[in-house]
Amino acid sequence: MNTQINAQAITDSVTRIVNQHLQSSTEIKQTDSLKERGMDSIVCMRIIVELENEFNIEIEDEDLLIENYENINTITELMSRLVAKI
Amino acid sequence: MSASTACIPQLFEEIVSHYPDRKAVQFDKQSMSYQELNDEANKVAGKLLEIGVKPQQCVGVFIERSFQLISSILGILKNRAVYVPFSVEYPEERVRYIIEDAGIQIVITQENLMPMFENITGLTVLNINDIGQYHPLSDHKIEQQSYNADDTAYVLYTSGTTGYPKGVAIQHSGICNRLLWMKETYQLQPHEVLLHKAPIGFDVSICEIFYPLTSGAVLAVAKPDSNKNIRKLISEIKENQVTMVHFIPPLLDLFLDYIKPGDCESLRILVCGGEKWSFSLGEKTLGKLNVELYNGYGPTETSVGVAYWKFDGMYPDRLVPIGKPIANTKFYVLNEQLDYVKEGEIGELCISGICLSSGYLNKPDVTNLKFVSNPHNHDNAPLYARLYRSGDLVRQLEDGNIVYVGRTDGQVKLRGMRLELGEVENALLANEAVSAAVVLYHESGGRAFLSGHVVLSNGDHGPNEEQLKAQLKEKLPDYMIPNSLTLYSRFPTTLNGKTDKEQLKLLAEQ
Repeated sequence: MNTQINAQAITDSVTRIVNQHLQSSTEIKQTDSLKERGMDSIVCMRIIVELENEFNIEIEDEDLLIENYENINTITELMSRLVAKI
Repeated sequence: MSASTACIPQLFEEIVSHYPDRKAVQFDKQSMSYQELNDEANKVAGKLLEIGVKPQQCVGVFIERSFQLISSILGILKNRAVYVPFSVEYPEERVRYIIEDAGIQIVITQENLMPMFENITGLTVLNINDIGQYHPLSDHKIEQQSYNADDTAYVLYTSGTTGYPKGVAIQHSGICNRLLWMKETYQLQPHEVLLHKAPIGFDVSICEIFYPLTSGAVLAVAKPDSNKNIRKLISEIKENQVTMVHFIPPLLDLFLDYIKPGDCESLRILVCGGEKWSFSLGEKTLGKLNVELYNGYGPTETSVGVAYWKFDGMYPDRLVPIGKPIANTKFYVLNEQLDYVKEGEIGELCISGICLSSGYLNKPDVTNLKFVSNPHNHDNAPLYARLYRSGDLVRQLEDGNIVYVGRTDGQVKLRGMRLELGEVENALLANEAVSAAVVLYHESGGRAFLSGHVVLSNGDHGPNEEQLKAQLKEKLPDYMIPNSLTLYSRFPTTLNGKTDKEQLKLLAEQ
């Protein structure tokens, strides 16, 4: 039960951070390609810093692969994995 | 040595012979001396010679930031061949286009990137990880290499707003003029460190790599991942005790947001360039760091950078000029007929001097359009025979500094009046609360209007739309005031990091 709530909380936080940084007229859905919604390396860097602060984690080199930041779902998966490690 | 006879490998080899034991490169806590780097570069040069690379043949480089990247580029130049970089971010289609357009037959790459070239026929692909097995170019052969300053040093592909990318060929004389000017202006000392972090497809990387290596300072190569995490970039600067670094404005802004007091105190020189930036960003920089901050400007077609201005927090009207030309370079502010505009009026910046590219590869029509004979070269100095039409609109201030206004295609006619969108943007940027501004022209539903888009430096604590409009009215005629002003916390950006004006336009038309 607890993990269920956590998973939803993580998805919500990721969705909020992504939408905050991508300034889009319509809300970005979980499977929308972030690249197509205007994510470049600088926006990605801002999002990464926000994620690190939000979840109190440090994202290491092996997790900086661009595939991890394809959409909200992939970021959520990564965050869930990193949060579980703590 | 005068710039017109200098070549990159020759300037580098002079340092090697005078200071062989000095530190040349550092990467990931390891370092190499000038002699060691020269030996590695000679191995690459020897291999290229062995497989029959001819002077002025184009050689592609597709390598992540590493020691090998640097020795490969040097090896190519030592061979009098032409360096053609592919950023590791390039999609396959772009790499293929460049290989075909530049007639590339040889590519140097690394093991994990080799699959990119698997299906391209007639290409020799060298794996840089085998560099240790190469026979170094013998000293005898090096002596036989006589460098020529008129040789092309590198070809860089510009994105271009329309059509295919264009290959810009830059000669050693042009780029060495820039490098020698940097040496004189920034005065990096032997122990001081410049950080190379720009993608190699971006021309700034040429100066990042070769300014330290042709002046005897230290080149720090940022690890490949440091472009993806600002925390890593900050620790690169700390670990390498970096003295000088180049930023594009949005990255500088991000960097400043995340450094803590006392961080990065080794920094002495920051160069910010690539697009227009605000006076507020300059103030923010000097508020956090004790550095000299320079504006850097230059089209790829004129050897990386041709103008410079040192940020001055007291400068009138909160302007950030691109400044004045570097050595052996002349600026002209001209109209469409290539006549001078009146003093202080807006015109196209046309550039002349040793820095000019020989032109675009395989594109004589565009070359002839952009590189023209200089009608103002009255004493027929060969150095100033040609003129590059930059397509950038500028205005010259009374003190001689040049202010960037916008692109030539940013000029619009509204209710019969000609106006520059960039002028309205500059008026918005003159407000200390504004950190970025875009003004767009719309034609929709049979009416033409302007929309203004603003990012405030202090989030919610700045002026509102009405206050901003009122301030604009003090500076600009009525017809130049945007019909709508919208505040953003951040602009949408395109894939290559520039502000996405198309998206702003759509937002304004909703």
